[in-house]
Amino acid sequence: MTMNARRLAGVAACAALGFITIHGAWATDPVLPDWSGWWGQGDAPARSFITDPPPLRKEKQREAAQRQPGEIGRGLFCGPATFTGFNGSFVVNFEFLFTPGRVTITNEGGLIRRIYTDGRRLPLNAEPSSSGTSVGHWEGQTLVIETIGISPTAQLGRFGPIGKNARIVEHIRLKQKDILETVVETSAPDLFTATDRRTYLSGRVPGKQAPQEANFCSERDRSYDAKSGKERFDTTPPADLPPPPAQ
Amino acid sequence: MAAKMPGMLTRMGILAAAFGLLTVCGRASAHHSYSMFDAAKQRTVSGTVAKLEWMNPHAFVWLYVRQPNAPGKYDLYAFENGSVNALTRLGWSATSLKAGDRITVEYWPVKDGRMGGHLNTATLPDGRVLRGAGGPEVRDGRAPAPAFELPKLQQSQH
Repeated sequence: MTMNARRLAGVAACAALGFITIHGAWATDPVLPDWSGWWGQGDAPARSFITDPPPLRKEKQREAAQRQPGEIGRGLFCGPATFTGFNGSFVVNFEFLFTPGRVTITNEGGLIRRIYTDGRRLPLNAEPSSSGTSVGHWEGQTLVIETIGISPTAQLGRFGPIGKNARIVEHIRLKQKDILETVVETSAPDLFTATDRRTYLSGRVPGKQAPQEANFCSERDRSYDAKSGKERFDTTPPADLPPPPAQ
Repeated sequence: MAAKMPGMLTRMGILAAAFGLLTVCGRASAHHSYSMFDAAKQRTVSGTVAKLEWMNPHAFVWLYVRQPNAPGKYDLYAFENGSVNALTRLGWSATSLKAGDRITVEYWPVKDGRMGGHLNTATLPDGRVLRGAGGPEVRDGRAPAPAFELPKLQQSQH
């Protein structure tokens, strides 16, 4: 075999290997549903916790009762976006990106979840991270996601940090063309006495093409003093205010 | 597909959608508690827009308000509002309010007596009303106008 022929054979082998790899990854995914666009859940999940309280441990009930809804614990301000069961956190929109062997979920608060659907299994010991470590599979048109390795300090609303060894299972499916149903089961032994199970709906946001960044960690937060950890109402006028109206 | 759902499930879905419609609201209570604002009081003030600070996590509206007993003198009022994201969903933009615009603001006053509070609505000279996002109303479990509505679930064909 000449040098050129060997090179040609090598290129062909690489191409075939790449095809097999890609095809193999897609092969584990079914015909995927249309989940394009952005999805909004508003604060429906947060309100579901009001109407249907989770099975909080007693000491966590006491701690939660001492917090105002929406209160941020000291030291948690300006933390990274975290996943504790709700893809839109509690207020922002989210999207799905389908690639071979993987679903990526992002939200407007900066969350990125990489969910591998290529058949791999969860690691025995997942390094804690903001989004956790996720694998998924399709049961028909329902995406089932299992997540572990969530950072113990990730905040589940005003119930506090989710704690160690949390495990979240989601079943996500289209209920109708523009309505997504998510069933989320959260096992968080430091926080709950039993698995918390709740269902919430999300709606496809009409006409929305681009994310609206929702970075709550601004350099100038007039409502919260990151140094003291206390809320405030900062009325220091902006430096560039125009003068009052002329008479 | 959904039209094939059993009637009971569909009715539950409609209820759930209705619940979602009621609860899908603007920037909610995730950032802070709003406890510095008096949820039991609503005030109204008219003035001239000094600036709309279009920023996260809370936009701020600055308003010059004429002092009633001192001609030519103005007070500067500050109004907290929701996040850029939530306000955009409610129809706001960075140019919704411009310096010099005359507006009327309904707000929950700040408890410590300073001039301002959390914006509930801003009424423009042409009568249009921009709803604020967040505020003590949310904290107390009463949702303001929905930022967007979930599409209605289809009725069962049964």
